[in-house]
Amino acid sequence: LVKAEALSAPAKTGLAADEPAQQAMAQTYGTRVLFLPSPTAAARLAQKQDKLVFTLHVSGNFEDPQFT
Amino acid sequence: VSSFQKVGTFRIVVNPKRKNGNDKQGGNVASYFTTPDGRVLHLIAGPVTADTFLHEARWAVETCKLAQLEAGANLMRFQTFVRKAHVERLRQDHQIRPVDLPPPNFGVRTALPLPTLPLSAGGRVAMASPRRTVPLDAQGKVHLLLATYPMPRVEQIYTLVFQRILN
Repeated sequence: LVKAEALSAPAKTGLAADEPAQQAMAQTYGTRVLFLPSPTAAARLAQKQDKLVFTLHVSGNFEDPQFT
Repeated sequence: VSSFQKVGTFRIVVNPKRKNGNDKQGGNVASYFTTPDGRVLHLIAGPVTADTFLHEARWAVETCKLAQLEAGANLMRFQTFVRKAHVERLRQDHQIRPVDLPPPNFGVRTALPLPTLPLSAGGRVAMASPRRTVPLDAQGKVHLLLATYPMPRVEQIYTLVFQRILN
């Protein structure tokens, strides 16, 4: 895993200003996709923005770089 | 809007029959496209190429938009439309006719995992007429699952996906 910097601009993340914890924890993991910390947070935001939710289920070991 | 969830782990098991002596059991990935209330429109079982992923993601989004246009806020009509979309993918991609598919089950409301995929031994679909079986890959099984149980909740199917589709 490549640890990416948390995005800081609310406009860029799409997160509301009252969701600072989620905003701080959202990461891209070396991709161009911003992953929120939990499916619940993603569902809440999707509801607000009238979007679908993409959830990745991983069976593996996050501490191992080749985790699956 | 994206997120991830760790739903299991894998372990290394010593297998004396293999050259390096080890087997990996359990590691895999499944990608779900859901409505905000957690109903699965589409899913990708296992790792795929970027092109395949983009194709499937676009299909999920376009199918959802069309379903919204057709059904509005009517859940049953929405489910029916999504089922038809998966049935059509089975016909186009896997040459399985709609008449050969099991009837849909729209009423699954419990949080329990779905019981089984309607597959015969060896992951093949049993066809009634003419009597034959058709092999299905993981993505074919996904379409079969979502055509049989349209728009289930993630928690109803994720064990099924890992255990029966991804093995």
